[in-house]
Amino acid sequence: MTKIINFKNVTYTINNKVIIDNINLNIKKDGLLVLLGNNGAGKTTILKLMAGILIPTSGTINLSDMYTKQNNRIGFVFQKTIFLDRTVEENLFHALYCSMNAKNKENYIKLIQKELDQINMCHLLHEKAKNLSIGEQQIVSMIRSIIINPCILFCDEPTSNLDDNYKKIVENIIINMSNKIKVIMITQDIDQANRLGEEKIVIKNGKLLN
Amino acid sequence: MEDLNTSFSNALILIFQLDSNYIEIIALSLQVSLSAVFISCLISMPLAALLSIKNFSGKSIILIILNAFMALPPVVVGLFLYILLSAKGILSIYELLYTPIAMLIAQIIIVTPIITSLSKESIDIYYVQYKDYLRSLNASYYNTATTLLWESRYILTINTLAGLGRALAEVGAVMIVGGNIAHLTRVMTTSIVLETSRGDLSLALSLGVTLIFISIGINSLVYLIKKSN
Repeated sequence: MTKIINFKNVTYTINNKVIIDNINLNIKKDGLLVLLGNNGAGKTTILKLMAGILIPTSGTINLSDMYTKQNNRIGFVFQKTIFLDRTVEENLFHALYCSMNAKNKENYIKLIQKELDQINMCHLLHEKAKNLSIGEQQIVSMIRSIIINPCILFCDEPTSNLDDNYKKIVENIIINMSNKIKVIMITQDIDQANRLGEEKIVIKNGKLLN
Repeated sequence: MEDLNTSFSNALILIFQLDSNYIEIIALSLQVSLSAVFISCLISMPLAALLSIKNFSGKSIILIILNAFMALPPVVVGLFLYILLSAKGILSIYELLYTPIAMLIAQIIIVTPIITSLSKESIDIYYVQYKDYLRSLNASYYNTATTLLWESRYILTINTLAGLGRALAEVGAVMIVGGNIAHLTRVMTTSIVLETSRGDLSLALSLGVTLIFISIGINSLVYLIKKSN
């Protein structure tokens, strides 16, 4: 089985407080992995360590050569959406510009329009992203993460603040993406984890339970 | 009282008649201060972004020095610059003493720490907000810096205007290195000092009133930028 991420004795501390405690973990290449756990268990920290947003205090995190050589882009959907003070179109283009070095805006507008059109949200193109509803923001955040053609998609409780309608849209996007690339998602909803997760990891007090 | 009234009347006449001496002094003041602030911005903005984003040894020392230099007495800047530019100074070969360029250098030295420190604090706020997002995109240092500078552009403009206010109001350093030479290095503040000491209040008042209006104009601009943001 091809591994995409390998944790070896990974510990992460903040001000001497242990957040992640000596974790060993192998994550296989494809499919959907769900991280489960209570508030403060360390789920988001593990996800950020996997994504390279945080650096471990000790231990090593190895990424597969195939992943780093072919495509080192990752998509990250934050629990609380982070948007620049720009329109939806500009936010999406910014992600393309930063991660894919997309210089010519004209060439990428069609791609942005196509992605938004697929979920009937093209009318939001010129709206300020920060002014959208929470549900719309989370969908745009998902689109921003997948438009850059990542090799892994990380989702930090992407449906926690959403109503059923938006939850369904986000879950569909996650299922579709998990058929193409590795998706690692955090949830506190056990029903959702059972419904979506092919593979589940439970985290408690910074340690893996299984 | 009558003298004061006469001075005010004459000052208003100078302003409304656009007296050539009065215009020349204001033009040089704006030219020197705007140029100083422009050059300061070219130094301050990249430096503020660097100090905000990167961690490197010696960063704390730079921050302490920058913060200390925010309160640098202009006369001290003027004195050190005078020593460097005067006949026995190491920069004497450039013959810059008592020229507008010497005044420009003095103002750059005074304004740069102010704009850099304020801008660094402003960019810090945006960096905390966008750090995880930019890291998730694996954004280069250049992309991170330009993103943060653009997102904080309104507050950076306000910082720049604060620097411009300081440059225009500065008198000690430009007096020392500029020499307050008529038609060459005489600016609003140095002219006000000179005319007041001479007892010729008309020109001093006209320049003072203009300086107040420029200050009100800058603050109105700051208010409008804050409001639009």
